[in-house]
Amino acid sequence: MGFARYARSLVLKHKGEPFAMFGINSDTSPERVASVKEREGFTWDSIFDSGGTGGPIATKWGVHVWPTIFVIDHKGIIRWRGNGIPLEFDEMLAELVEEAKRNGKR
Amino acid sequence: MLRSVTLSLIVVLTSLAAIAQSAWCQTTAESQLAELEAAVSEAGLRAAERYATYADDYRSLASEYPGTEVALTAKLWLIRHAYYEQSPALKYELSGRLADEVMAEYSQSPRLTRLAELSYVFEESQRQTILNRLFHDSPHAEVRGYALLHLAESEIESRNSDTIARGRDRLRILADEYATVPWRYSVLGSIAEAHLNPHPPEALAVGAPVPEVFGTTYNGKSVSLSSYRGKVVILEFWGEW
Repeated sequence: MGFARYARSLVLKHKGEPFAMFGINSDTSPERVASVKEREGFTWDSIFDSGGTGGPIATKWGVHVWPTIFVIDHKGIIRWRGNGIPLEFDEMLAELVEEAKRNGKR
Repeated sequence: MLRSVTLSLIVVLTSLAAIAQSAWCQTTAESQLAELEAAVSEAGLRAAERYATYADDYRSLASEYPGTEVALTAKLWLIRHAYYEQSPALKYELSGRLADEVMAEYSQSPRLTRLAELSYVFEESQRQTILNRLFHDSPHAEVRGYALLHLAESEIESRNSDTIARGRDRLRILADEYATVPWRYSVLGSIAEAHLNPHPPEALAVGAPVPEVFGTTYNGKSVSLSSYRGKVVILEFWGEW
């Protein structure tokens, strides 16, 4: 949950910029997801992966560790993947957002 | 004439009394279970602590109301929490005995899907036996499908190529014959397909175009990753547990 809480700050930091959070959730019921989202203030959409770890999406993507994070650029290319928050994450993200903004101006 | 009418009346009244007593017992059992579950929920303990604190209560329920749905609930709870027995030998002995009881007493129950889901608790050879029995003996497609899935999921993780092939055959049976059988909040066909056709590692590597992923949110809204094209996206697999 640590990364998701950190992501809240990223959403605020990059408000109005070409940036989005998108989740794949593995909680056991829609009610639990609703409760967590409300309590934690997670405003972004998450696909409900059928209720539990080992759901179809996690299985198809080979995800066995939570959280698993992919950073995808504005062209849809995977630029980073991992399970934690490396020191340079903020900087990497800011550079990718600048790339997207430059691309949007062309 | 009067004697036969009286006898018939006695039989009817006796039957009604038995039905009423059974209904009362079931209601009493259900209310005891509800009270216990509320106490467990309120205590908010971790699973191992729950087991240590409440196992005797669940055992009492199971022995006091044998053959009932309440006793089945109690036994499934005990199987799940036997996982937290400190001694592996005791864990396997307890869980195995409970599984045998459940399969003997509730062989026709659709709730044996839960036994398949709990198969990770059992010792491996017993696990295989239980899942195979569920698959071969249950009249319910859901129970058979769950058993097949759990057999397949461990087989495809094997290092033995024949075992992997057997697992994939089972997944194909699921995809062909059990595709629309309900599984969690989805169907068995979707999890079978995911196992049969996972993304290859190179499709999820840095530098690769991200695969599409779509589905519904917890409140039924349709969403897709591709709809965010043009933005930098952090895709996070997450959950709270």
